[in-house]
Amino acid sequence: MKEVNKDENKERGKGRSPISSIPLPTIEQVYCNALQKNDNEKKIEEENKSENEVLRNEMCNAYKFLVNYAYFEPNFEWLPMELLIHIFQYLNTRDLQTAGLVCKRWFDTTQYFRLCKKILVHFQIFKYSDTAQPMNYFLSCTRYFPNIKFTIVKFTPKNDAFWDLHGDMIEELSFNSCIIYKPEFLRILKSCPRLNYLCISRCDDLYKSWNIMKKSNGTKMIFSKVNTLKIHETSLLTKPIFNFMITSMPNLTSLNLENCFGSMKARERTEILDSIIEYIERQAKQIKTLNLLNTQTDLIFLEKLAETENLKLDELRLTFNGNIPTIGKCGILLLIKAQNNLKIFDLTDSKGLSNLCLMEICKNISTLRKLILTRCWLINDVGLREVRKLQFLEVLDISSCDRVTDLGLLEGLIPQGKKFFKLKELYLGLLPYMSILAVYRLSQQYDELQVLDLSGSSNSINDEAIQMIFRYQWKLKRLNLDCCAKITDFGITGYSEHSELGNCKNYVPYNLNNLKDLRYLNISGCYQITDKSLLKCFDLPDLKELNISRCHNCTEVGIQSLIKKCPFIEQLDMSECSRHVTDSTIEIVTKYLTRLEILKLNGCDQITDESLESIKFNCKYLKSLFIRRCRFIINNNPFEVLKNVKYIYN
Amino acid sequence: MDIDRPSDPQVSVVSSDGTMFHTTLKSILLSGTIKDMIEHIGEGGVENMGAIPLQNVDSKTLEIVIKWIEHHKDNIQPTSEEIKDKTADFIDPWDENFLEMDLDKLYNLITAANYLNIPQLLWLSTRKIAMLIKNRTPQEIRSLFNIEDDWTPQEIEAVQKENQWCEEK
Repeated sequence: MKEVNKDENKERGKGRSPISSIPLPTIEQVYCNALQKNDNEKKIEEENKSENEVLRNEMCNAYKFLVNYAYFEPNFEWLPMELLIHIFQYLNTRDLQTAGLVCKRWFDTTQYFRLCKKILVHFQIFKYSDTAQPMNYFLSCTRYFPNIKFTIVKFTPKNDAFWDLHGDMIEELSFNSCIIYKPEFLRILKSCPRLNYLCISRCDDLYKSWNIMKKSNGTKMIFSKVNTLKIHETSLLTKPIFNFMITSMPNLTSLNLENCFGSMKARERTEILDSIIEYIERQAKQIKTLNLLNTQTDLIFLEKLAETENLKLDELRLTFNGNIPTIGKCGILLLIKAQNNLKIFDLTDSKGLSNLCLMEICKNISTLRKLILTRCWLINDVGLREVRKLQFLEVLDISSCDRVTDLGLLEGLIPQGKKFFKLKELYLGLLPYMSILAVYRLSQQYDELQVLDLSGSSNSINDEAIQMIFRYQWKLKRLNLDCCAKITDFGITGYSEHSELGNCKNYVPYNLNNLKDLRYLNISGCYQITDKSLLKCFDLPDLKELNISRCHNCTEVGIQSLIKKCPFIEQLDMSECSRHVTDSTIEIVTKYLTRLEILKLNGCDQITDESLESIKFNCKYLKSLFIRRCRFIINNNPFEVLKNVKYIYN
Repeated sequence: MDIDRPSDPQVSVVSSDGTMFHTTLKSILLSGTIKDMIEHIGEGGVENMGAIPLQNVDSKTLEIVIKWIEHHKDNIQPTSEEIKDKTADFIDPWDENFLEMDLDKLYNLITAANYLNIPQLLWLSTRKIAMLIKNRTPQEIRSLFNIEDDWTPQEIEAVQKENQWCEEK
């Protein structure tokens, strides 16, 4: 059927047709046809030589067609598959999906396993059933979905169809706040033989049901491919469950127990910590990643971890809240000395981490690529200046280490006044004692940054400093300027009628448009920014996330020009721009931003129910909508209007 | 093997439609395919080997390729393994300018870069196409690349229903 259809298209002369959609006569076929003809009409033909000429012409034409049309016609539909894959590997998920919708051959290309691995199927908020949507959509398709995640899904027994069909291909599986019981859980695991990553977060029903349910008939289950196990946010993980997990997954290389055991009784917690440390001691050679962020550990645990033989971690994340260590024998110091091969060290929220610890880290772990010290309040300049010993450092996060000043920053990061590291990401949020000078020098020296976070460090950035960032940081992908209220239009556009700098002869202005690669921009609370900036700058074609909340001085005119210049924004926050965000603004925003996934309009008290209608009409992909404190939205049940939106906060 | 000698001898290549091009050994060695060919010739072959026939590249495309390799002959070229991890890195303005050509030429350039095994050129040209696909609707892509829509509305609907649940990993 298809072939016939395409033939018809061809005859109608609709553009160039792709090569193989036209049934090409091969030379042999043409020849054979000609010969048949020859046989049948031999006698007539012998007499009639002109017939022969027709035949020759026909063959000539076919040959010309083959040579000129088919072989030398470039058409991207028929580019060799491996080259299409080459092209598609640069696309993000949304663009990849769009490319898949272009034609069937491109769609088949997007099913190549390496491209599929980029895509996560995220099932959210429903009661699981094979016969109801959305699971029934997935029962008739043959696509390859290696990554599956469930959030707030209630699982029910005896619904196996999805797992029978797709289980073979699943490699990563996450359960987030799901209602799932032991039998279903085990059955799902059994049907995924290739599973290598399992994450269970906030699924307390699973642990509650663990002991009540009858034991399965003694057969030992082994999931040998699983190498990453994550169990987050639970206080119900008991020793038997943990033991089951680790014995059934013998090849773990990464163990992640974030936010666990918070409300557990002390005795039980010691018990489980003991079994964890026993396990780590047993598997010391194999384990490479350990994450215990915000999980209560104790001194003995850390000491034992430090003394574990053969344990050489690549990545360690933990929160240390113990006694502030002094010189001598102390768990955390021993651990730092023992784990001298780390690439990633994350100590977020460690209230007990002193300068001494940081100095030890810098002295012992010279391999470190990524150091995260968010909210380690005890750190000050004395510790930070030692960071210069970490010559491979690429990512540094010292957000909220609020004792840090310029001195430590400059001595640590720009020793001898020169660029020292290959820094790619720098997080300097909420540092009240950091000044403009530090930002100025850092952005001048480190011109290869991809992420720069200055949120809440309002003392450290003004118009001149932001100009410096625009001048040197043109590789930035994420820029966070939350609450940097000193920035004005002059900083963003580099152009001013009044400023002295602007009138200076040798002054070359820079503006936001220099940051062509920017994906994420947060200028929340920079209330001095007005329409002038929005109209002049924001030529940022790649922008995906934008936060302009609390920019009171931006009006509809500015917002309209902004969204026309960045039509691919997926997450937009316009909270509390109250005066100027009206129903007509929302109509324009939803009309132009076709890929919008998250829209925040908290406290926009001009908008009414009409906005819900335009959102319903225009936003196909919207997942979350925030409309708190919008007092003119009278509709109490916006879910009825917006059936596709999964989260509405009102 | 005499590839690393300081002098840079002339080499000729012949396109599929018979046009001969002259370039230097140093530039032509950026092509993995030709490098392999020359390595197989062995001792003293480079001077006497004559023109290299390239059956899969026509003269227009070959001209473009030669322009590129001659410009880049002194740069260190990444291997195809290194290219795999390379994403949105900085592109030389010369390259940016060089890639300003129509789609037919770009198509031929991609196939030629693939055949001649020049990882950096393949990376540049395929990435250029990716930039054209990016941020467009399916219909826009179809009309840009002149591709026929062979989906039925039912099929498209089914795929879109699945896509609704997909997101970036």
